Amino acid sequence: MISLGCDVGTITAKTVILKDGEIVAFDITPNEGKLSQAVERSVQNALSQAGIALEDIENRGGTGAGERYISFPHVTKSTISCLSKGVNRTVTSARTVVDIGGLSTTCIHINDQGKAMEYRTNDRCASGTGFFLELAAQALELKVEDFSRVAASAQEKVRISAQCAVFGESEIVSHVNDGVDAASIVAGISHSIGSGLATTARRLGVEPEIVATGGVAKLAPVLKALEEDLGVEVQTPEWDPQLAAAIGAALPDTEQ
Amino acid sequence: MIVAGCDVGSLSGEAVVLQDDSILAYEIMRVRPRPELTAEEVTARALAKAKLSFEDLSYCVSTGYGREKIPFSNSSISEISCHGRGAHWVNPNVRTVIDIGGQDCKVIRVDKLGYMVDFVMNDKCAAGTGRFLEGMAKVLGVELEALGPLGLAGASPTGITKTCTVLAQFDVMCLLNDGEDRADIAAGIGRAMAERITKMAKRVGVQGEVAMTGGVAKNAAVVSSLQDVLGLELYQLESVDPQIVGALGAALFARERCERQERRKAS
Repeated sequence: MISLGCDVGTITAKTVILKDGEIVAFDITPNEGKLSQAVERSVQNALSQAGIALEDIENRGGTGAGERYISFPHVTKSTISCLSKGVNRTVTSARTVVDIGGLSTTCIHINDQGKAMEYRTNDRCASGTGFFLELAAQALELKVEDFSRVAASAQEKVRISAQCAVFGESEIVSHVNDGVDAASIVAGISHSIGSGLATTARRLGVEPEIVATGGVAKLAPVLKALEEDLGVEVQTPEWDPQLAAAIGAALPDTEQ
Repeated sequence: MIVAGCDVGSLSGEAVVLQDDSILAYEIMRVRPRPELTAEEVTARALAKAKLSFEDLSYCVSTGYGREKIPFSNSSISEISCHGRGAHWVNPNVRTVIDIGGQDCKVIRVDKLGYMVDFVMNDKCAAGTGRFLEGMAKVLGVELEALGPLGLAGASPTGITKTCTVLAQFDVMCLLNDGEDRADIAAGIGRAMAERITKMAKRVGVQGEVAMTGGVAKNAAVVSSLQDVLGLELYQLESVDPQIVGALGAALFARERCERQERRKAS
């Protein structure tokens, strides 16, 4: 059976095509210009990788903050269920999902069936989100992908005191102006995001195994800060962690 | 007696040169990487406009977030006191000052002499500050200065549901995607700001004439929405640029401190 999942986030649109539960194609497209066009591009990219036409896929699921920009018929699913199912598909022992998206952070308790039991999400403030990382990268004239490499050489970490993403960016700019090296700043940013996430997770109650998803899960220094703060190991899925919700959306048994 | 006030904020720096009770010259500029550089340049420019130099100054007070780093100032005073004092000088009936700067917003109550008695302030979150408007202007693809006039042209303000500056940018992006009218969106942005500020104003209490200071006071859509939401007429600082009120207040404190010094010397 072939199925398609599309997760329209605030920064990127993600598409996954599953064949008998295995990923056969995926795509991550940044939202530039019209959201509907980003969705279109992402879906087309995945379809051409898989060499299949949209008409031939019966099971189509959509999720994410921009889900309404998916123009073709599909089943709408909640992001929480999609993240839970997506993680459970490969890591059945996962009981806590920590997700950092473009504009939100979410912690979910899931059971062995991948059902969300309880969750906390911050979607009111951009503090500690992927968007903040983008702002920080711009201020440092780096790419977010470079953060792991840059932070590796850090001798110390600068304190980032602002909670607000916008003010955090200004704080980073003043550190740059004060001549602080990029490595210490990136280490400081990673620490601030990791410990913020740990606070949210602790409020929900941390139950192992913990799996991190979303773009931030690709950043080793953030994961390390999260692990140090929680005192527990944090895993990442074997596939691209940004695809978690899209995979969940593609799975036919994910709740709507 | 010639004195100066210098206000270095997060986004802009201002200087006012005062002789006795009249403004000789003022200057506004975008900040340089360091507050002391901004302070020096903006004050030098204001002095040059008045054909004066630093040697002609009897006293200088600095204010704003970088106020303690200004080498040529004689003393520093918080911008809260300075905005209250400056607005009260422009109109002595003013008892409430709403100051919206680049990275903070405050509502200040002053007494009949212009001294601060109470205030509320948000400097933890960019919502309701100049940075909010900057972010919105960027997403709408207009200059910050054009946002106000554009908003005034909007007949039915669009709802902006998110308070957070970053999240509201995504809101606006979606509204643009949906083909909403840009003027209506700009009006909605003004309305969102007004609602945020009104909540703060109600916490400290609004009394007497209300003046608005800071760069955001130049955004006509915000001012007009704020009048609607607060349900009162704001006093328009026509004779003085609202952005220089902090520096003006600093200059007034400079005059006061200089006079006190001279009295002490004389006695």
